Amino acid sequence: MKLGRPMKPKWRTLQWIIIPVIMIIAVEGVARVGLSNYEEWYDSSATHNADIVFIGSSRVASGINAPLVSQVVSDEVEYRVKVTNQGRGGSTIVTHYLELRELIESGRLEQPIVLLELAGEVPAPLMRGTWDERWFHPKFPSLLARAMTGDDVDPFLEADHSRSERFAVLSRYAFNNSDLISFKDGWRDLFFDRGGKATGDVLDLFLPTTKGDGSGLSDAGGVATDAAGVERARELALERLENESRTGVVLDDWNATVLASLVQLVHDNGGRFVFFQMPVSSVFEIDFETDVHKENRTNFASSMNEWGTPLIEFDPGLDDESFPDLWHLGKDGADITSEQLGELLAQMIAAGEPGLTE
Amino acid sequence: MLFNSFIFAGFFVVVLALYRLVGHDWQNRLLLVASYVFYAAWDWRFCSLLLISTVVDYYVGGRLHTTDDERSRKRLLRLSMMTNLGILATFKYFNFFIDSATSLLSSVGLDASSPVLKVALPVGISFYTFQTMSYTIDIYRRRLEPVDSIRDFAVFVAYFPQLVAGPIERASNLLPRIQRDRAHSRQQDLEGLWLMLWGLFKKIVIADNAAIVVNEVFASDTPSSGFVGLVAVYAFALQIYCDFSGYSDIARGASKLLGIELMLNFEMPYRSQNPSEFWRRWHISLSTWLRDYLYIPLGGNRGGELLTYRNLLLTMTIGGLWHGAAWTFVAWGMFHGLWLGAHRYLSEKRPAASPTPVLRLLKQIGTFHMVCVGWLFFRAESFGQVFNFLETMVLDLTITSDLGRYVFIVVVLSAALLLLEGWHRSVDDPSASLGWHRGLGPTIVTGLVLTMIVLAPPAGGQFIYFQF
Repeated sequence: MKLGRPMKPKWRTLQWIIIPVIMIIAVEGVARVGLSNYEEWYDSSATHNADIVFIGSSRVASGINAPLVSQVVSDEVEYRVKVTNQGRGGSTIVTHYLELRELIESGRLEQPIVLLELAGEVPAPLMRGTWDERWFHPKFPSLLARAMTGDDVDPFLEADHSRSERFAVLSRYAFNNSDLISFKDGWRDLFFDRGGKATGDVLDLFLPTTKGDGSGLSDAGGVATDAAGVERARELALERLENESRTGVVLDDWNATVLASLVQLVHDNGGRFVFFQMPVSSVFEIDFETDVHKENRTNFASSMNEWGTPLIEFDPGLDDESFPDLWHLGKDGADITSEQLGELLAQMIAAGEPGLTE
Repeated sequence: MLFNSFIFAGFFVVVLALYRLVGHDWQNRLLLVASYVFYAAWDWRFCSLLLISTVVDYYVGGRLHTTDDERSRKRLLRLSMMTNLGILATFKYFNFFIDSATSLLSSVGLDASSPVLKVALPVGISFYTFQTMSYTIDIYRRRLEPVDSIRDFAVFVAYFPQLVAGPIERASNLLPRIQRDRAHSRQQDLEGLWLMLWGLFKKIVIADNAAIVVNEVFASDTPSSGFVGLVAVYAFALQIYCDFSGYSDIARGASKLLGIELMLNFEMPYRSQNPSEFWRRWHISLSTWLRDYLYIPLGGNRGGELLTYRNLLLTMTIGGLWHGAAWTFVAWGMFHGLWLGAHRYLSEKRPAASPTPVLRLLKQIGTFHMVCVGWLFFRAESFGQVFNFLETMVLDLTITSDLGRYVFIVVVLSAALLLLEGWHRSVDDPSASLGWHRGLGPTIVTGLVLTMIVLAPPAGGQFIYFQF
């Protein structure tokens, strides 16, 4: 099949330059308009001049209701306290460090109180790496690439990454100015999520959803709230129970971790670093009884002491029912946790805990 | 070294550049070195298996040709079969047979400790062993003359574009192309580049995204609802076709750039109207291999009705086992054997008149769904999972909140495949027409590349058939 007359040789060659350029510009334009607000993690409006920043994993994303904490603390201290939740699934301590560094160094975050979750009084594995270890979660290279600066490239190359991991991050970093590339992973999520929701709405017109998730989970920070996702998460959590050989590494030198650098960064800039105990389901609590964990807890407690970082401990009295997928708090559990945490935080500020005063 | 990796892209560019600079003799030397480097990139130790197959079959092929004594010829053929099947049995099936025997003994109350061979499965082992066996069998049948040069024969065994996942080439097809001078033309290059791009698109955009649905749903023993199970099976049908035919297209494209034509391995199989047609369109190089070297030697359809059905069932069951060392693959093969037998029986009892377009469509839909039942056995981790899926599909037709996303992904990917394959079929030669259509060529190529950039999952998967 041939359409039309053969083209002139000059145009035949030129079309292979002109058309791709036009298409790339068009797609880049669509990405800038359609995706500029898609990735809300460390979004400038949410973090600008925030007083309290929660950081951590998807447990924090789904388990901390930032507006509620803000309301509770503001009521107690009698001035408006801006609270932002930057917990996210797939984030690591390095990605949090780089994002916070940028905010602090650019003056958009002044003397903040930064709160990091602990599980069993020890940071979660993705929050306790050293600069020599892998910097990012393999499924989320964009989170690291968008936070990196030119100065970070050398240390990144020196850290323990495979060739394909380096490529995944650096190829995205090289095109950080292009929304087409840097939001590459966002494109997919957006396309499939929005398309999926629209398809679900269409299906509902004919066959109403008879088996919803009913989970009460928030979809913040990449938490799966669909029926299959919740079920899979529960199965994964329960598989952990069956796995008797709970291995782990004893970390002696917490000062060598990225976390220590982050604490230093926050303190050097007049801020305050605080740890808080994030509630977990019984499936994860059994991890806290291992010898490795106990040793890590002891070591980390002395590091917290050395750094001068307080730990907020509280018991919101939640059971496994509050964790629909056994990993994350449902909305009700998140509200209870946030309210209690807000009150304790307000008390610390009111009591003049160093660095936590107005 | 995956075809969908930048390492392969770099490797192939270097090989192709050198290849174009030298004459035929050096081209074959280069192909041999490149093929062994390619295979060593997986695990250099398994190059020894390639070498054993090559040396044994080269020697056997030569001797078979010069020996007239039937007993000696049979002995030589046995040597080749035992070497190749021995390699397969040891590296692919040893643990499977031992585990099955141990389970059987345990079920009758006997305690048996089983030795386990802790060796990774050599990639592509089923493909190159079958390929070299066809060489000796054809010489034994006096349908082929042995090759003089062991170097050319080694290239035939290890030829990197099709080494790890086929097409399983016949010596009569591939060897002459290796032996004779290659001519290169712009048209041939365009065709090769187009095939590689099209194959990459099928793998990266369609197969890898369909895999997200498949992996999520098959991670549980039971799907969240029957509809979710059904959509996951459709997704797997899409994934395995685009994964495998994508690989084949890249292999054919790469080979075309090297001036060597490889056979067509897929011919729009989901358009088939019956199982017989499906197997003429799906993994053509394997189905014809099984026909020529297993079904026909077993007697084919020459021994009466019952024996024909037996031969069909045996051939397909062994074909199932070829795919993987698990009982679910055996069941998949048996399912196809029984289905082919039933189709044969019904066709003979009631020869079909030429179908109307509606009937043809209904037959295509019916055949596709039967193929999907087979895919359930192919993909499932256990028989328990197969039955849970089937039970849920029949008894739990509720709509769950995750269904919309899964349906959307499968519909979008299917539409992309149908649209592009439809266009592909409507033009005599897509690569040639790309140059002529006003602006269509660059638009399609840029569109495919941009879609690959945007929709490629962060961690691209390995090709499914590498494990076979």
